[in-house]
Amino acid sequence: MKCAIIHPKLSDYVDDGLPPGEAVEIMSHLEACSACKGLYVDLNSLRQAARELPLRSPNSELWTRIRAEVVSESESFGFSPAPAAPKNWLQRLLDKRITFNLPQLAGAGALAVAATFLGINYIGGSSIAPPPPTAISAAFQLEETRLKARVDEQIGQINMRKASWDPEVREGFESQIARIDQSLEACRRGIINNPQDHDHQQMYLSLYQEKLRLLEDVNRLKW
Amino acid sequence: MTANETKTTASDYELAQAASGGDMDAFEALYVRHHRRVYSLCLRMVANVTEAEDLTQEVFVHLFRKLGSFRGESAFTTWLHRLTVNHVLMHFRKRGVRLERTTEEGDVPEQVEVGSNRPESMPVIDRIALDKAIGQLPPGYRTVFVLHDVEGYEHEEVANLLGCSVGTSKSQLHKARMRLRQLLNQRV
Repeated sequence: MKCAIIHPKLSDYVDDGLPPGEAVEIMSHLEACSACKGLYVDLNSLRQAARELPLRSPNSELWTRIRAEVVSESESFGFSPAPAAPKNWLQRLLDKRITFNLPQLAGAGALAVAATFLGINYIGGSSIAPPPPTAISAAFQLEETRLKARVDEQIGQINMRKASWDPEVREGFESQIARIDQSLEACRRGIINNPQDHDHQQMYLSLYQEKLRLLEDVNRLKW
Repeated sequence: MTANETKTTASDYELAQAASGGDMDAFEALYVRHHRRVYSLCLRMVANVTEAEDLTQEVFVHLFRKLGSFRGESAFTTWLHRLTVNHVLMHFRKRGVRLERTTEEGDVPEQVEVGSNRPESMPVIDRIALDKAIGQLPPGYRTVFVLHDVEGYEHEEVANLLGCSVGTSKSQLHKARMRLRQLLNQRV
């Protein structure tokens, strides 16, 4: 085999990419031809060196730029990362539960106990009824009406899809909503008990916002 | 999960899941782990520091958007690597870089230079010199060499990524190695 025929095949030979017959022919030629042997050694060295090239580091400011762009994009366009897998979505629901169990729920629980103790027994159906308008600020009522409308809208969208959900996921979702509704009810009773109590009003609105965020998350995931 | 905890204990998959929920500490931990590999790949493919940094930025912003779709079926590094390669190739296409050909003028004739008579002519390759020489390759040679020899892709994968035949990939690689050998020998 001549050198001119060998050369184009040497890279394949270096990569063990030739049929056995051709490889044997090239090996024989290399034993006899120092020029081709030199080329083979060089190509082999190149291949080895390429695999061992060190990693390079960008400017240390790069992370700051990336973070700023991600945050800016999120704020400007209401962007959030692509939806996670269903299983992780359930995990996110469970994570939400932890959020709800923090001071808000603790306070709501205490209020519920207090309300029960005081014998306040208001039953307004399965949905959360608004606190009585008397002695409650117009701003509070306005915000509550706004949040309720958005929550109802989100629930309407979810109800259209919920039947097709995995039963376990649906149960998890409904359990979360029931927990929030329970806390909302406790807060609402607290407000009935003391319509001037600003803290209870704040807690009530915060819980409504949490409920809205959860519903929006579920809708954004298009589950 | 605090930034320190995520950096030391969580798997890539766990970090990806946390970051997809908006956890910036988790996203930063992913960046810390993988940014050098992403940047190195970008730099070797485009041979320009500023462009490589811009591409790395774009890759990580794109990654943040796509994190939720990472199912953990393949290794995160493989997934991120493929995402990076595709992003750089897209960048080439936008710039009108022709990867099928090796230079603006067209295919470069293969070097007919015969191998050195001294088998020991290039016994140890200076890694820095090799990095610089890769930067001097025409885009087509460089892309195939980086994907195959540096990053370890098979010819079939390279051909699939570049939309060319396996034969073209092999031919480009051989020409790239020959050109690199020439460039490195010129330095000696």
